[in-house]
Amino acid sequence: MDLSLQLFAALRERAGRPELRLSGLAEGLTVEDLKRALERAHPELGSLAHVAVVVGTSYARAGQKIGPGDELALLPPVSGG
Amino acid sequence: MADDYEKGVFELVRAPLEPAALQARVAHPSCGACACFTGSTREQNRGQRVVRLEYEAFEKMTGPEMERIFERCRAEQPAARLRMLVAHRIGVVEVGEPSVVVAVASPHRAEAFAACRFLIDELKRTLPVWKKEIYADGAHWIGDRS
Repeated sequence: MDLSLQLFAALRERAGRPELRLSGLAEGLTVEDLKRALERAHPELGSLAHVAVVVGTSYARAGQKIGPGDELALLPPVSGG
Repeated sequence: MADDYEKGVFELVRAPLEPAALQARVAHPSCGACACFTGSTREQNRGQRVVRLEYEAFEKMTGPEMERIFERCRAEQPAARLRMLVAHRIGVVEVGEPSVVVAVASPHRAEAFAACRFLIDELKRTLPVWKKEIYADGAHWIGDRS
């Protein structure tokens, strides 16, 4: 399964681009699996321990499975206001 | 009669915010109280002089997430009549300018204060917006922990 992820703020700057693609991922991987795969494939992002995964326009729940075609985004800790 | 403000109205704005004008929009003859919070950009942070700020948002998600925050706010005070408006700047914001305004009108002050406090606290916790402080010799994304 191939996935692409939108990046924001510090993550976008660290990656040097607004979107990342990952390929060859197992079907049924969870949000946590995805973060581990990203940390291995893109060490330039740094630790993703405090990074939230968004599917569509909602925060993913812990253990939520990612499917092909999901629109994904990685959010560093928010700092609005 | 119910209108959009009872559900909660959210706006991402690229021009300077005008707190008084925003507050006037939630006013209603049934509401004797209006709490208005204005957050502004500070000239000093982390011991450095801030030249300006830049706000970035995951724009497609801000509307849906703010709707969820308004829902949680109404659930906190299910019996209260609340008229809510939140406006957040995006893009470059000069030091000293308002970056966010939260205005809540309600028949009585306790409900208006509580809802206003809830909305600003929750938007700072979950609204997908990021603030970058620009200094004379560098920049820093606030909240970045990697």
